[in-house]
Amino acid sequence: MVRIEYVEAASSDEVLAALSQWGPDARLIAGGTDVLMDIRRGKYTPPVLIGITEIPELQGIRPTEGGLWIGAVTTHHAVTMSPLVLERYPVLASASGKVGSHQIRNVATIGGNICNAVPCADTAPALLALDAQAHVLGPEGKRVLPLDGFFAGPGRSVLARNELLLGFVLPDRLAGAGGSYHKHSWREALDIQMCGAAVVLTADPGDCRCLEARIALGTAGPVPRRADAAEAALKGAVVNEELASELGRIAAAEARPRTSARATEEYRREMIEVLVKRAILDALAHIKGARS
Amino acid sequence: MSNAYQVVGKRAPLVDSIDKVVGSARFGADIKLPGMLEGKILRSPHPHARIRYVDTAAAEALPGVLGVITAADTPMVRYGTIIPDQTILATDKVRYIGDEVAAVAAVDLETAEAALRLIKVDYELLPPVLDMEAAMRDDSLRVHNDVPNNIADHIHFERGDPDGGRRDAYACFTRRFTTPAVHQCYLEPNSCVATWSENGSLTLWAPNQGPFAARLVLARALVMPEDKIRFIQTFTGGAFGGKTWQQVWPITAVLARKAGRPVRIVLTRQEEFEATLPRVPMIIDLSMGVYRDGRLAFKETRIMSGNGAYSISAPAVHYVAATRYDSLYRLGNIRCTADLVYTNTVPTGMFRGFGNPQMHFAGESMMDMLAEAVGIDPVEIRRRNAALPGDTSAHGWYLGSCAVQETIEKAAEATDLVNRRRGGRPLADGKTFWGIGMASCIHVAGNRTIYKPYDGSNARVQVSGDGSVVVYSGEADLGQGCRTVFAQIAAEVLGVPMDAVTVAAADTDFSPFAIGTVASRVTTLGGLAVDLAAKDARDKILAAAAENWGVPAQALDMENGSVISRSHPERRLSFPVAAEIASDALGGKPVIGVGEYRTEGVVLPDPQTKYGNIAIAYSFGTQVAEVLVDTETGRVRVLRFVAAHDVGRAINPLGVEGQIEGGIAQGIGYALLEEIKMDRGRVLNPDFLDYRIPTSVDIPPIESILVEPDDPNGPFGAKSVGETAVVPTVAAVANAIYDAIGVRLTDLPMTPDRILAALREKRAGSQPSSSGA
Ligand SMILES: Cc1cc2nc3c(=O)[nH]c(=O)nc-3n(C[C@H](O)[C@H](O)[C@H](O)COP(=O)(O)OP(=O)(O)OC[C@H]3O[C@@H](n4cnc5c(N)ncnc54)[C@H](O)[C@@H]3O)c2cc1C
Repeated sequence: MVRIEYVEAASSDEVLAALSQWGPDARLIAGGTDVLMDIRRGKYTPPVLIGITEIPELQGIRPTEGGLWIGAVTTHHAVTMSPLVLERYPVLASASGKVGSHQIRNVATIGGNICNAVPCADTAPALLALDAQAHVLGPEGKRVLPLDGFFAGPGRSVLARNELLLGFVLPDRLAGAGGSYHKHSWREALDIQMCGAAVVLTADPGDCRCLEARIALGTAGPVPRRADAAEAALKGAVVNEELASELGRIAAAEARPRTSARATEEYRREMIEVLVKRAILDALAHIKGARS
Repeated sequence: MSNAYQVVGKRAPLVDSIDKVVGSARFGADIKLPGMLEGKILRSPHPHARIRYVDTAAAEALPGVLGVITAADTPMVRYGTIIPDQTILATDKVRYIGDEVAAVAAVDLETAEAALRLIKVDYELLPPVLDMEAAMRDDSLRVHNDVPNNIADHIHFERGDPDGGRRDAYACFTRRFTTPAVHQCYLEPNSCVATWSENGSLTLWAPNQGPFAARLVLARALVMPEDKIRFIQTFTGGAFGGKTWQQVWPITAVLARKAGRPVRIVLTRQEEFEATLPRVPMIIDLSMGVYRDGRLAFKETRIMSGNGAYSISAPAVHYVAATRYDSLYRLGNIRCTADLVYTNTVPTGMFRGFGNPQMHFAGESMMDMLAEAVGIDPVEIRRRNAALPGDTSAHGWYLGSCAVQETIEKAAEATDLVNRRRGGRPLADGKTFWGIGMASCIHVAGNRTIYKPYDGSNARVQVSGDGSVVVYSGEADLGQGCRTVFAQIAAEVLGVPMDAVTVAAADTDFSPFAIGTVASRVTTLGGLAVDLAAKDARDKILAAAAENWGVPAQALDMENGSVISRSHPERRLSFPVAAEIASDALGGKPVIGVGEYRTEGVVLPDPQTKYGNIAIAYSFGTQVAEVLVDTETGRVRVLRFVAAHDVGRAINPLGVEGQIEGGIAQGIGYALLEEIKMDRGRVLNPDFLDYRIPTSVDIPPIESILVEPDDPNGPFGAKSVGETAVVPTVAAVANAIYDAIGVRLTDLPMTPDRILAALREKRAGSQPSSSGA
């Protein structure tokens, strides 16, 4: 019988202590919807799982200095139901709402989704497009890093083995900005994405000229990533259907999807074009809707 | 007529539903015996290889291991459901990735898994045979050395004058349709618990579709007398054809004998996808033509069916694909050539519809193409060609009841199909297209070819002195609800409430002989046996009551749960009192009614020409699908299904609707999502992450319309529906997609990328036009 110890941490200090006690093979577990699958598949067998969901510091959605705090162990369900998120950053609520199923969203956390660091993580494009800052605690103390740069490769983040993600801060600057997340998958629920696109933009409500823009893609490369060229072309331009189509093409051209048993590179690229276009038009409708 | 019945025709929740809901029903993996070991199977990692040797010494030496078996521990005879081409464990060669090579019994699963890793197998790799067309060539390597061209079964027949039909046709098309292997995806994986007694008899528990049929093949595989094997059907969590035969049964039996302890093996979902018996994939080249008035002129079919590495029931599936569709319409000119081809891939087998959905996908797509070519609508072309009651079809099938026309009309009417067809016009957004499509179908209620020696069913109905009733039948409830239907039939005949009736589980030691739940035969043939047994018990009770009253038995009748005197209606006995009198007359024994139903007018078809009436009744149906197609992403959403089914008579309308809804759900998966993807013989998606079945939110509202013409043979007029419900679904979706976007998809599943590719071809003008002759 394989035996795995379980430690329930009551504070982030206890997490750090347990991590240093058990060494680099110890694993943090939040909702466990990725960890338990990985263990079952034999990807790794940690000597210990360190539970982090009861730690107050990692919980909650509340206004904080410069933005909105979302604790790492917040479940996707809680994100989708939060009035603060729905009002200020609906694109994130939409992304969390597209993860798995009700059962998964009730236990799976937003921190786990990001720390798992796979290219198809549904909340990654939304958090990237929202300029999220990740708050990380390690033996040397706290550090804050932009999410853009958090992903190191498929299944790898820049977090060290002895570090812990505390949560994210979403900037006040983008609260209420137009936003949209589109996920393309085969069926209506409980499905991994073929690709995904999130758009957040602010625009002059008068002439729809774009002031600030973020476009981020899922499953368009080894890690979730921003579509830099498309963003650059969007900034300062008048947003309309024609531009949206053009930006779709630019994003598709800069994307680096690959062929797998799930979908071909060509089909994914085609879909990135469609999703980016649709997300931009939705974000625009959002801005116009807010104005009227 | 239905008003005359008290129980039959009423919506009855399944009699075992509470057991299932509260978790007290024991499924295969729930069986635990004292001292029971856990077993695991070592499977081939290669699609095709010669086995040089298997070294199990290290595995046997591992503490906690009590038994390791290889082919040497088995009788090494070849057996099979139809063609004897299997052995319990691989002897000379492995023939697919997943082929069983050895097995281990240990004190727990981890030890068994560790022992598997210690078994050394020396393989000499052979080039795998993977492509059906290449496999049939003379120079192909053979999967089985004694089978030239890898052809396991060849069918060829002609009816009428197909060449004349083609010559005289006003319009005709030839298209290739392909369908993939798809899995039954029953919720409960296969499992088996086996134990031996000191006197050499074997007892097995397993979820399955017919313990007698299973025992028959087991006895051959184990080379032991049938009656030394007791096969007990556990609660079965879905089967859909996938639990008629499983290698895990003889393997568990041999392992238990070697270990000297009871053994349990439960397959993992990965093993299910890699090594059980998915639907037979087919390549169908179909030509069909119509005369100017839309009547069918001819049908010519060339089928290649993927057998996989061993045959099991695929030859029967292949035969159904070759023949069944032809009796849906009045069609006289037919030619068919079909080959069942071995490859080094997972063996295939039965799956709800049994080859019929494959052929209906091709045929019913073709019907819409032909309708367009002669300028009539999809409803009219079907109505003009539909078989009628009393017809004898081109294959000699006698359609005692046949309401296919009514199903076409009712489904069309409920959806206003003729007026709502859009023919490829977009919705307001310019990108989304709505479409509607129809498909009809025929299926059987029973099939004479399933078991050559016998075509019938048996039942016993036992009535105790307290009026309680037990029905014994060897036919298996897989979740489809035959226990409930049997209880309804017995309750109706005896005039007792349904809850007075218990239906015993199928067990070869105690149940009367049965062929099992295949070929949509159980409600009809099993139901007829229960009906006869219940009548026998009723007659015995009436006779005892008559004797008690000193009147002739003919003077008495059963009414609303009482025995009454026809001449003196005030004289009546409640059923329990009558049962007590009858039981007392037997010295306190229960009354036992016995019923055997044997088919009449049904024959084994000619082995060459396949001519002959194979069933006592045939069921029909027509389904209409409404879809939305997103032409930018290629995604199809099914919005609504209307399904009109000729079921003869619905004994349990609730159960019939459940079957229709489940069949359509499975059909939508087959149409749009499902495929066992393979690369050089390896299954690429052996899990529910990448093998996608529709979820509840992918299934649209389904409206069932029950058409009840009362079949002259079926019990209370009942025919079948379980398989029928999935037969036309794929074609209905394909026809709806065509209506929406004007492209004809001929390869399943109809995935978003295929839809986009077809749209691109159409824009480029290379989609073969489907109008004009
Ligand atoms: C059936 C099913 C469907 C799914 N569908 C989707 C889907 O549609 N979209 C999608 O994006 N994902 C999906 N997933 C994946 C998974 O549910 C999500 O990634 C989820 O958000 C993971 O959260 P968790 O709390 O369960 O993470 P866990 O499994 O607990 O952890 C995941 C990883 O992150 C690490 N980790 C967790 N929290 C922290 C922290 N605070 N600091 C540092 N490291 C941490 C863990 O050590 C582990 O390596 C699905 C999973 C399943 C089983």
